[in-house]
Amino acid sequence: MVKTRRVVGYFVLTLFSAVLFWSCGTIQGKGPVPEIAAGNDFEGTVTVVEYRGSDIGDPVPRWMQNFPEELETRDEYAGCYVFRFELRGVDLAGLERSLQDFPFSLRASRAVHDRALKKADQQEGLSDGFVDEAGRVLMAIEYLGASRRDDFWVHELLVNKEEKSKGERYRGWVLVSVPKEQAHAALKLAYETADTHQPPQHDREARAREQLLAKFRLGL
Amino acid sequence: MRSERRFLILIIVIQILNPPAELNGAEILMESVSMADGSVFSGVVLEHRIGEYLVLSDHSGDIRCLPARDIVSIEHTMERYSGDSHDVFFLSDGLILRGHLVRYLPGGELTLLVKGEQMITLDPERVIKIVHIHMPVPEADTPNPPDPVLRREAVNLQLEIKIGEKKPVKPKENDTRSDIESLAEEIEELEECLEEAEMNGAEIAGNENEEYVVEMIEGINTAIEELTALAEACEMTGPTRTKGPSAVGDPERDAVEFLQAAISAPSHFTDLPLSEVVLSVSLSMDTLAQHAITPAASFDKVKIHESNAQTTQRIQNLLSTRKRYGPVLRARVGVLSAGLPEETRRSIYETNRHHDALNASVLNLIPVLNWGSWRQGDRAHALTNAVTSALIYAAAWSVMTQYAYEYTGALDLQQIGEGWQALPPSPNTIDYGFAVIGVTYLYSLVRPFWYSHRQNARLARALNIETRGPQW
Repeated sequence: MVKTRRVVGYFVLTLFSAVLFWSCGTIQGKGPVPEIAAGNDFEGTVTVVEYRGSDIGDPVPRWMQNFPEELETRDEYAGCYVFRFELRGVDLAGLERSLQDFPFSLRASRAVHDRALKKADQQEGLSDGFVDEAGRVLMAIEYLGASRRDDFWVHELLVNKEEKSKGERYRGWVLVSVPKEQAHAALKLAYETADTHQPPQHDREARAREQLLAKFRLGL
Repeated sequence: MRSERRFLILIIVIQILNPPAELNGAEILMESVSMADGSVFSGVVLEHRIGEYLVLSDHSGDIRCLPARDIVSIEHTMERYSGDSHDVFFLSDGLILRGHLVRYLPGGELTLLVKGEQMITLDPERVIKIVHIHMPVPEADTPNPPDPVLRREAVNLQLEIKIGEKKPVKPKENDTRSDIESLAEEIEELEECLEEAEMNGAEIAGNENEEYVVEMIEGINTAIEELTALAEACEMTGPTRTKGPSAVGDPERDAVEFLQAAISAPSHFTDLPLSEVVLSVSLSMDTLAQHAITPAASFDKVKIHESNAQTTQRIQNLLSTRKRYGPVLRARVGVLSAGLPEETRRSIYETNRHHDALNASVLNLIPVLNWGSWRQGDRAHALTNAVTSALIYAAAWSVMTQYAYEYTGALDLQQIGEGWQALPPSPNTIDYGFAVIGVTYLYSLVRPFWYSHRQNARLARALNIETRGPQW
């Protein structure tokens, strides 16, 4: 009886310990969700001291807590490619003016172009002429459905303990969406134009182009 | 048809403010339009709706509207054009291309040259409309150059009128002016702008072509009549649209943002092409027309609905980031939701109530962590329970490892008479420890349901709605 209880005790404790260590490992692996999912290039401590709406208790908008690719999976942005552009300013008035004047239509064209070319770069066997021409067409296309969804700014305090320096900066973001169907139409036009003007030189390149087109059909 | 006529009228207005390129000597791209009867027209294509009509400004500045069915081909005839002159091609799939028309054969292909010297060939059926944009470059020897201040003011005025009406900003709470009043004001301003244009046109008439200006003035009068009719239509029906984010691809929103981009970007502000202004104003006027024919609704109801929507959004903002509804939050929600209809309050409740009791309970099966409670927002319980359990486990572990060999359970021998008798096990420290662990473990499985019920009941009280039965 005593021996049995002792064995059971050891077994339970060992099991619980294993679960405890495993759980801790899982938590560490996932990590906390960042409040603002955006890059930061400052080496030091960055503290957000103020943001748009903080004075009246508004929360940080949800689109700032996710990366744009994650936003595209949400119902709110269904059927759109979402791009977030960052702006910086030394004072709030200047930054707000820049946010207000942001040429989102042109920047959306460039963003679609960059994303498409990133995908094209991953495809081996494409000629430079084909990619360049498709890129030029994409850069020339604007989107009637490009829409400025929202903007947001933060006031950050920068402290670098090593250099014993302090500073502040304002960062702003503009959220822009482009309907997927329009982006796909632009891709198709760019592909067809480049394919017509730069016919493939050999079968390998033709296959690579077909593969690229198949990828584009699935989306950016 | 109505929008096309309005478009033409506005082209005329802009022409008054800014005479055609030939008059001020700027170099532009000219197109040669061959007609079915053998005639050929040269000039600048201001607008081209494929399959419908083409608006051409010829060398003398006269504007012609040519039916598309009679056009055989369009080709650009000269390579002389300034960097500020280009065509905008609107495609049926929502794409916009800027460049120069190189060749257009009805029923065949449409070739254009976009920036970067890139040639693109399109099926003409894909193109809805082509608009020519020209910003003349003033030269030193240009006779009577257009007054840039006057022109910019006119351009700004027209744009601001439209943007002011459609800019998607949050309305001020104290703003009691109706949309009809503001629309009437804007129309008045536009009329002033047109009068100014008329005066400017009269000056040109003295110097150049009387017939040309008479035509323009007639156009202006027609525009004023149309705007007045539009205002009356608005008064008859009243607006129904509520402000706020619109759906993707909303043409009204797109038009507004097109205008905003044009006026807000510094480069556009200084080099704003006139035809683009014409296009923008045309779009906005179409939008206004749609606005006017929207089915009638009570404006007061719209305002109330708008106010409720804002309040609901504020409550949502408060609740969406919190999992535990504390007293301050509940008080604020109570105040905000006091004026909302019950249906809306119930909707807020259903949106924000805790539904995660079962999930949390399952996650709490993992001992010590109380992960489910933590995720549920019951962090005080999760922390207390986790720390307590961890301490008990640690204590039990250390006792067991130290006294494992000496531990004899609870067995004890008691001398009874001359013999010894084994007694049943009696509880000791370790047994109590295991008992506490067991109880807290079971409690942690039940706790999420209790927590959900409690938080939901609090939220329901704050929103002043009745609930029955367990709320998890």
